Amino acid sequence: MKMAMHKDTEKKPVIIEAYVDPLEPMVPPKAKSEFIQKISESFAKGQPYSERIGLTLYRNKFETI
Amino acid sequence: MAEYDNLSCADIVAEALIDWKVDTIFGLPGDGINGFMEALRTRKDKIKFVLVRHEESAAFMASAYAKYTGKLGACLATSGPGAIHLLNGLYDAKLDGTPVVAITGRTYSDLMGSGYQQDVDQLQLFSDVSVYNNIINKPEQAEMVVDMACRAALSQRGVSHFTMPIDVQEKILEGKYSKHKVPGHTSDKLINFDIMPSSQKTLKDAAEILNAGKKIVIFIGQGALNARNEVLAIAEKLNAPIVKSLLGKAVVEDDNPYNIGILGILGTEPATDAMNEADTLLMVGTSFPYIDYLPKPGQARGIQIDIKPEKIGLRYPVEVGLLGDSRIILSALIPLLDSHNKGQKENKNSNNSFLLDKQQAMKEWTSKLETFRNRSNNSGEITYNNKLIKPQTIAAAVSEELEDNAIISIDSGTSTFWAARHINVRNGMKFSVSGTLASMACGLPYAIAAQMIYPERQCVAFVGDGGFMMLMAEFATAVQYNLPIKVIILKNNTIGMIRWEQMGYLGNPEYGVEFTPIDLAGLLKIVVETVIL
Repeated sequence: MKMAMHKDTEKKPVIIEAYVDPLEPMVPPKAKSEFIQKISESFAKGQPYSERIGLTLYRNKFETI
Repeated sequence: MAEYDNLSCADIVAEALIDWKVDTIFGLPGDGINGFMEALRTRKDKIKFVLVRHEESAAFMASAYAKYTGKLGACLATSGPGAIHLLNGLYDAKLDGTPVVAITGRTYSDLMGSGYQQDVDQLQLFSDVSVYNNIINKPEQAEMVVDMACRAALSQRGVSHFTMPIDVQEKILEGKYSKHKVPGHTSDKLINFDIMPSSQKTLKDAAEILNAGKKIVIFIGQGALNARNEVLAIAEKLNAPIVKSLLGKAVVEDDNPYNIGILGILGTEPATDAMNEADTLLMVGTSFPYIDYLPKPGQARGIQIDIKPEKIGLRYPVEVGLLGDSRIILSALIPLLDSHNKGQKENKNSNNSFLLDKQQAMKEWTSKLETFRNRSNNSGEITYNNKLIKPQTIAAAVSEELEDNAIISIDSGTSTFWAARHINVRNGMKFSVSGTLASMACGLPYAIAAQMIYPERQCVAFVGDGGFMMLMAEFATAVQYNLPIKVIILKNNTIGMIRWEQMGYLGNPEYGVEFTPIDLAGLLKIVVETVIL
């Protein structure tokens, strides 16, 4: 990252293609009960990757208590 | 009008734009606008034409030019499809109150409305996006139209559009005016925006409310970008935390002790709490649209400063509206405020417990974000060549490498979320995005425009793969113009924001949000430096 962000001697654009976790939850600043309820509903209806998403949400919530 | 003798209509338009200090036009030519292209070719020492790969990018670049410089942005396109492609970028400018002039060509004047090739009624097409919208029929009309278009865009902070039939562009000024026309009746003088509030009484009314407040929140947007010191002076005097809109992120540095972060779904918990508890709200240069994050009407006494009168009281009921430039109004307001700090000329409402509480909460919030960010991804089954990283980690890493005067352009999607929370803007940096339109694809064109304007500064595009792929051909534009922009793509092969909206808003399983992965870096490596994390 350091090299890519500061390299400009050749005046060429730089691309950093970062493979990131597509299931990292976007949690509102205060996770409202309605938001959590809706996520649960989506799980009940067959949301793919629900186990993984649920685990991350649970761990994030647990650590804020 | 002697200055325009023997000039073509296109020449006059170019000269008039130069008079308005337009120095760069982003665009893509076509046969409908080629008469004007010749006028630009013969004036390339005075006005630069930047060739893009898609007209939507040209409009985004014009919008970014205006946002990053405060000056009038300009773009052009040919008739029909070219003009249509401009629209999304122009709506970005419209919704964020950004001055842009858009110039389009039209088919031959004696074939308009006949269904001829690329014959689109662009006056109707641009009627919603523009504050000024006209067609130039003859050279004798041209200067007036440009003057009105530029003045309207600047004064109303919006989009002006005018179109010219291809044959009209080449017509030479004959000086044959209608009997009521007076040549030179419009002016090209810039407007003085140093508007002061209508009266001292209005300022005193505002000061009275602020002096009486015990839980005051200062909420800042892009309209306060020139007023950092004044905002901080008021925050210090009133013991008031500062909450930012996304477009106002660069007003005050993120590590300033008065900053408690951005408001909204991508914002911070202390910002949300402060709004829920505030008894007084001072809004400065913001038209933040998510009103459910603002105090409930009646909860807080409202004061709003804005350059547009119609924005005052739009999102929250205010008792006092102050019209004009934020820096000037805040400067006039400061002497009227009593200090809420003990030991100085004390206000009876002196109490810094609200501020201290929010500052402590901000420290805890920052720590919590760091914890989430640093947690490993070892619980998941999905990996990409064992290179899966949390998006927050990338945002934080980018933040660490930002130079003191970096310009950060972000995109719309989950990348917005991570940038808002994990990229720390420092004093002297610039930061922008398609704020109110929240359009995908803006990040790359914005960064290109930024690097064009500021060749010596570090210009960064922080984008998702979804937004990047929409206008990824512009990477070739960066190569063509030798622009060392840094493009950081969060690659998750997903329209990520929509996944969470489908689940979290509607309670439905995701559908139609996953892309087949493509090797973006590999695709572009012929012309770029490539680093894969």
